[in-house]
Amino acid sequence: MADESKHDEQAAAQTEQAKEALLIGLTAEQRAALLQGDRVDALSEAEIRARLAGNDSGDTLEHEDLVAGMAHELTAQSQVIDLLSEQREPEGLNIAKVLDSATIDLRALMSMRISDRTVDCIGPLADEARRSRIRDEISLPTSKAIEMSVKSVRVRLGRVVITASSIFLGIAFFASVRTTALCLRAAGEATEAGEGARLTWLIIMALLVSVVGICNAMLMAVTERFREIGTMKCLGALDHFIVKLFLIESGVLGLLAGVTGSLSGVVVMYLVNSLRYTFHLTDVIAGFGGILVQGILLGSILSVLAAILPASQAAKMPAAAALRSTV
Amino acid sequence: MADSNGAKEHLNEEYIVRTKDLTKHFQMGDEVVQALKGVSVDVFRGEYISLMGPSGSGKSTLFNMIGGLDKPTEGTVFIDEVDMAQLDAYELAWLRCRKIGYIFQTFNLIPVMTALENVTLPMVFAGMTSDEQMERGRLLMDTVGLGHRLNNKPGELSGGQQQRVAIARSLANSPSIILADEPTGNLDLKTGKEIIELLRRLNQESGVTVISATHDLKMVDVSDRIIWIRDGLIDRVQTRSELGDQITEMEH
Ligand SMILES: Nc1ncnc2c1ncn2[C@@H]1O[C@H](COP(=O)(O)OP(=O)(O)OP(=O)(O)O)[C@@H](O)[C@H]1O
Ligand SMILES: [Mg+2]
Repeated sequence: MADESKHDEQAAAQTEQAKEALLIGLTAEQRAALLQGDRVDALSEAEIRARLAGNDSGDTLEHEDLVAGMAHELTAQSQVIDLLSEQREPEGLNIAKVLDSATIDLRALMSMRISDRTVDCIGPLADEARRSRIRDEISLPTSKAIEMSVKSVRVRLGRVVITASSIFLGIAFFASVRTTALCLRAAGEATEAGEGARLTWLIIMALLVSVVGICNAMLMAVTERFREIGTMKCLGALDHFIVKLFLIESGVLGLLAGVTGSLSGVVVMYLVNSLRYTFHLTDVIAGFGGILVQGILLGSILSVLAAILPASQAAKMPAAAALRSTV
Repeated sequence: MADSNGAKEHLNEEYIVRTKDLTKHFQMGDEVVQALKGVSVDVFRGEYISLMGPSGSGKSTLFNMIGGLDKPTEGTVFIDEVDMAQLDAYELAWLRCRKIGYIFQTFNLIPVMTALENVTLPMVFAGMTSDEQMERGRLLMDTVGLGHRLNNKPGELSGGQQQRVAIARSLANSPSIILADEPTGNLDLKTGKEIIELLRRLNQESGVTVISATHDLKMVDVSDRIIWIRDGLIDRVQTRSELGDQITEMEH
């Protein structure tokens, strides 16, 4: 049963391809004349054939050859697909074996579609539906982008540590100031009036400095990778894929720097203050949790913000210019 | 070999790439460099074309225009009779992803990814499932004879091997055109020969159109037509049959 439906599917796909092949050889004018307002997908292969046969004007149109060529290609293709499915044995596919036994080779490999998405030309046949389909046919799933970014961070660890250090320091400063204030309050020590406002300003300044720092580091990191960006564009990446990759990468960095920075700020300042003042850990532990969460959020958000400018500038570059760069 | 390469029967006399009066100017400070001064070329589906000419003649510039990597100052590029200037960003990306495979002198593999990941990257953009990616990626790596180096980083591969990975990558989504800019430029004689042989096989057996900018006279041997470029203009176009004796002349 299952075999039969598979067969039907295959036959339908072949009819589709035959239709396409019939149309491929035509110039825009010939296509227009042939179709006369009809949509291709509404016509059967037989209809197209019939119209082609009746269309004497196309003297450059050797559709007999075309059909013959396509028929050959179709058998070649189904042969390979059959062979490939037979070959799905434990030892896996062996293209050499497949090609040998099929007596046809790369031609079929290249026209074989593993995905059943039809990949036809944008062509003069492009209509609104086709255009919107094109939008769906180019994508970078977020899960894949995260995987790529995390890998990139892991591989470039040395470089990444430097990039992340400015945000690390900023968050560590933020966490230590907040921790000290918390410990003092818990110990019942009075703070001067206006002290709180002054510290808030200091924190803001420190964070601004680290944003500028990470922005600068990102700018360098992006510049170093112009060629990589150009390559990705050649492989079909849209500008916003590039931005997405860099923002996620920066977010991962910020997360790491936020976790380590706020942890070290809290731990160090807790130890320092517990030597000077007397207070109970139970009184401050909840506050520490809040500081950690704030630090991590701040770290990730600020570093994503800092990457927006460098990443979008680099992504806008024409592919040729990005590829030329020799940095 | 000459025979099998000789007059190639085109399945149909259909242009896959056409350029019309392409010009490209670069502004360099006060000076304007005219890299292309009106180039019109027609390429048939399934042809193997070599762009030859002295350094600075405009080969790479033409390559970039045909590949949609840069915009011409004036003139038009048609791919499958579609004017590239009419395409929006999505369509252009689609074209680069599925219709054209690029090969560069410097290989341009992504250094942090393994060979297999490099080959499957265009399939990611094309929305293949990861099972399909792995299957096709392995198949392509086998095709270029690197089935045993799937998990090596580019840095761990020789130049020739990197270029073969790049070729496998260019085939990821079964393009109809392969564009190569001096694919053998950074390789020694023997490795260069292997790469040319691979491109020739792809062209003959799968019917993919190959357009290659090159200085490499070995390329002449396998080309259907040679387009000589000089000073941003087409100097002359020669077919294989016209070339015959000249190749031997040039080689001596
Ligand atoms: N982005 C650019 N900015 C300025 N000038 C450029 C740019 N790209 C190319 N040119 C100039 O255009 C001319 C043609 O360059 P192109 O790179 O196309 O030559 P080529 O034929 O590929 O040379 P080669 O064989 O050395 O690679 C050269 O004079 C070059 O300096
Ligand atoms: Mg060049």
